Amino acid sequence: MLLAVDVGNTALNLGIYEGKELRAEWSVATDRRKTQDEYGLLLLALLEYQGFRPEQIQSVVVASSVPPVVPTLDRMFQKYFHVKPLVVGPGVKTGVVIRYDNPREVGSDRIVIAVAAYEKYGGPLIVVDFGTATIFDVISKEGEYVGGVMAPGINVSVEALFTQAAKLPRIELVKPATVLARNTVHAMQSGVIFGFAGQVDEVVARLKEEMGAAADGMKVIATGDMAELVAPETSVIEAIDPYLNLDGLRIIYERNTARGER
Amino acid sequence: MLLAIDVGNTNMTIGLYLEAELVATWRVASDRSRTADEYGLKFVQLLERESYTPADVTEAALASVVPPLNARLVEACRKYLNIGLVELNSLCKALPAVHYDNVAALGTDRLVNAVAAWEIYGRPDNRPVIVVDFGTATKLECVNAEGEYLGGVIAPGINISTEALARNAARLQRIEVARPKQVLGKNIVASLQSGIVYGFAGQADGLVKRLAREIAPEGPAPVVVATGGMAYLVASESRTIQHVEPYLTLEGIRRVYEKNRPE
Repeated sequence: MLLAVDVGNTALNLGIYEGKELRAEWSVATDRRKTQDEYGLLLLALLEYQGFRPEQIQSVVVASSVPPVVPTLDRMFQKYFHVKPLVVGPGVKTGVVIRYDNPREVGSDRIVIAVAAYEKYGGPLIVVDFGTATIFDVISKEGEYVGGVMAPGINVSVEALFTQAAKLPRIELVKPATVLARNTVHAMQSGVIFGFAGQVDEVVARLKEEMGAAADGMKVIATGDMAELVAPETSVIEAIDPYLNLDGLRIIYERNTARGER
Repeated sequence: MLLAIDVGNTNMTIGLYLEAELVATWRVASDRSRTADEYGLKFVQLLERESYTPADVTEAALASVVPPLNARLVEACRKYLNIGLVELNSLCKALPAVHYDNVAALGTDRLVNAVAAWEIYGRPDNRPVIVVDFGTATKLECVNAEGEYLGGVIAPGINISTEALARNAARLQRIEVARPKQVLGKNIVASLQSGIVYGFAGQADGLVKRLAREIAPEGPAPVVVATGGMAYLVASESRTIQHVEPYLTLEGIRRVYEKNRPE
């Protein structure tokens, strides 16, 4: 089986694939201070809890937007799983043409998402990834990564507001019944949910406007932790696909091995 | 002359009014560690730089969202300007009606913004108004044509969200927030600039449109007024904001103070 690991700024997403089927997935906090042994024990415990044994993991593929965590994971997988992970980066075949000023600047996490989204939905499309940042990845009809837009993510922004505004309380993020609010908690729920929905609608509308005919038939797919909260309030998102990152890792792994899974 | 002080979570904006005319403005960090003497001295220095003396200031009014600073500012005004500082709150006489679950809990900054916007843009044309204040938080307030405060919305502000992103994302650096030449970013800096400028314009527009549908479903459409430190950046990209009033909050403080002036 293949273990796919996507290291985000906030969380590590892990998925186990048997062929193309995602059998189990986990998410753990990204902690830059955690050692290889700590990550190793944590992963073994998670796998065992779901009835998997470490020797069932024949291959590992990793993409990271937190570069310092990669060597730690690399050593950990060799020590605890006896597998040398495939790390998505320079030299790894992804099948995506990157139209960016400096293609090396595009994070491997972006490419992974682009690979999965194009394979599953076709182009042209926009993926809206609600993570630490809200990232809009634009993929052409031909499957090229043509650029993106990045805004501060929902959780990060909301945390900053709690920390810096003396009088505002911590709130639970749920959708309120009306936009107009007559108390602080409701006002913040409304501002966050409908505000970020408005952000998505507007950025997508402007991207489509700018792209003209290249945006004909463009699909908009959401992914990331906060997608469930905001996507239903937007008028542009057609589907939520929570595992684009893991699917993309699986596809890239297949493209880099002769027979797919070894 | 009246000294109007608007204490936000990041900055305090200070304005000097000669009757209804704003003759000087200053911006000072809302520093929770600074003492009454430090604030007092700062006020005197700022006034003197513009060729005013402490004796020119005969009245002072405060709207604050940082309660720990209030007593120090009162003391600073007493000791260095020799005047009382009137602390406005949301129970002050301000609008014909205030519809809020607990009026005492409504931020004074929000109420004074609503007053200024309605009196300047709503009342003359008998139209509802929506204010968007781009500060530490982005705050929207709704007032109907009759001057009744109806409620509002609070969202994370532009600066704090952008700063928080730079702190939390390993590969995203601090950038200059400016309008990029196109929406689609071809490098990280341009992608972030696009997300910030168009994203926050979209956030404001999305909230304004939804609020307008709720408060004025059959028209006339609300007048939309923006204020706050980041208004200049976003307002030009917004499709709903019609007016930018950088000192709307000070104007609201002056107007509410006059309705509640101590005898």
